[in-house]
Amino acid sequence: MQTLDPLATRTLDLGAAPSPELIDTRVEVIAPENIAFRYSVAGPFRRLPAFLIDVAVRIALWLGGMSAFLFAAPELGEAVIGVAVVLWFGLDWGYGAAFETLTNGRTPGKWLSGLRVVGVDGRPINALQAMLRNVLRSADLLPIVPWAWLGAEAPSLPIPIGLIGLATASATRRRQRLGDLAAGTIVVVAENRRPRKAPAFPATDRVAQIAGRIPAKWSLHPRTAAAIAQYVDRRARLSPARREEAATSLGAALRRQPGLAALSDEESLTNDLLLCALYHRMFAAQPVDAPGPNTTLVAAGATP
Amino acid sequence: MSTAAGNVLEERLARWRALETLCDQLASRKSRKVGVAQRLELAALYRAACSDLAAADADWAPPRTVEYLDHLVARAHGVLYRSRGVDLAACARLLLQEIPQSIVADGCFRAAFVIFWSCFTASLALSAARPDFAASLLGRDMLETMQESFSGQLEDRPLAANMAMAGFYIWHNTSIGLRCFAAGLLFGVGGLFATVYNAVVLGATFGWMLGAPQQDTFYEFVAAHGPFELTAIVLCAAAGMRLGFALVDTGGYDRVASLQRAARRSGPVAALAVLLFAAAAAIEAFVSPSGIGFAPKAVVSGLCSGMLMFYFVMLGGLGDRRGDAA
Repeated sequence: MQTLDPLATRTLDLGAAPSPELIDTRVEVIAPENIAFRYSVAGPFRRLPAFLIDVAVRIALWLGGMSAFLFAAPELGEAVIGVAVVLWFGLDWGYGAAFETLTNGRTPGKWLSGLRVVGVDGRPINALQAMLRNVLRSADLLPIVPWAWLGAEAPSLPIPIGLIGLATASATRRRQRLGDLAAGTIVVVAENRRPRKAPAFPATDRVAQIAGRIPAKWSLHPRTAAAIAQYVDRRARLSPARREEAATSLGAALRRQPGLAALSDEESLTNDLLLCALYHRMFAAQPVDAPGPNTTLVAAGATP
Repeated sequence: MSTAAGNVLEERLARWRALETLCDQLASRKSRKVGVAQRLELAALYRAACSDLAAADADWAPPRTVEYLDHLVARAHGVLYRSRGVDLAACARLLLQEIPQSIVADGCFRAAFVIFWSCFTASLALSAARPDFAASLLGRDMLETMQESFSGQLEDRPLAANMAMAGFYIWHNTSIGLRCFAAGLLFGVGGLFATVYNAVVLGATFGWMLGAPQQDTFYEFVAAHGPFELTAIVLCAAAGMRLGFALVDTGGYDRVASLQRAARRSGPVAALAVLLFAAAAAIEAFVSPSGIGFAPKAVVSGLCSGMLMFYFVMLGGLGDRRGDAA
């Protein structure tokens, strides 16, 4: 079996190997199916609009509830104050916990901002976690500054600044405020906001035909396979001339390989077409009865 | 190796799209129309997507494919594993078994009760012995306002006024309690401060009232709701302290894991305190200010205290654990 790695002789490093610790806001979650998938964690400033929306929704719900109550029972008199205060209390402390428990980790503000609360293990949060992270928010909103600091005329309403939550969320890898740390939750960018388009594959008849002519025992080094995969991934955004330009160096090296030399007499075999055909052989065309992608072809290159 | 005539990726793409469509349907309002067969298919499609993602990860598949699959699997995961509702049997077990036992077994709660009652007693004694102690602590204005509000006899109020006051007490006292719980997270200092502060202020008030002419009215007012309210504020402060001290003494866990363990135990205690606050508010609004006389209020107070004793001693096993309290 031949092992071909046209890139091995060059100093070019593709950087395709997945590094264990990526410098971005994604965290890996292991599902019960023992598969790891990644979530994008929402930082404090992504969560601020959701928080403000929730405050507004709470006020709106309170006003709506009170007008409905006054409309339904206008003769209650002084007792209305009690209802108003209890309603506000319930909304103030129970709103987030109730929504996050009943609607799978989303308050209206989070839903509008495309966020969701999940457990650190990726599982949906339970009632206790929802209650904890919402009650402990009052610690995250500290310190409280009197409004008077902002201007002498202002009413003496205390304003929570939220420096503690900001500091802890900035300092932790998963952007957790204190309430999140205690409840074991993370806020992630929700996965069903904008369904991404499924990737398109260049599976024309011509590609399949050329792929069929590649010798069955021909194998490829994983790093080369990765380079081809990255190229095919990006070619959809390039014009034909640019595609050819980008494919030339890898294509030319591959053409010289013994297994592929036979393909070179094919007229109008562009480098782009060659890479697409190889890609097709590696990832697309495979025996129907075998589960998983065509691992033999790629893996064979690693252990010649 | 027989290469299939068809493109296997096309088949997979079809499966992925089917999963996407199913997720869309289940997320939308039409989710009730999704049949059983389709719901079962979701699980199969999700597992298939999982294995596709694992294979794609292992096989250096194009980054965009991996990214797409990541997205799809995370989304289907969220649809499949939804948050559960509230299980009433579990709540009852939590309330009647786990909470009292964890309160009694936890040194933080014992410490909070001891701190609260010792500060309360000391402050009461000081204030009764030296009248200027209460004045310097609480201020003359506040004492005069209080004296004024308890100057008359307690008389029945209209029901509407009682309801308004009940709402006010629920909101005011419970908010203080929950804030006290949250503040405990800051290394326990918040809970400790709140405990001592409440104990000293209440003790000074009680002590100062001992000598005042409004003594009878005052004690008649506070008797009925006192047990629940004082217990609730101490529970809140202690639950907060438990969180804060879990950050200091981690018991061999890392700090975050220790905090989570403590939160799982003290979160339900804070919920219990909310219930106690609500009960105390109802008593404070409807029973305490009424003109039914001292005896019925004393009975209510005794009943409440008895319930608390039963809760901590019988359900919590306070007596059983006295030997191994260390």
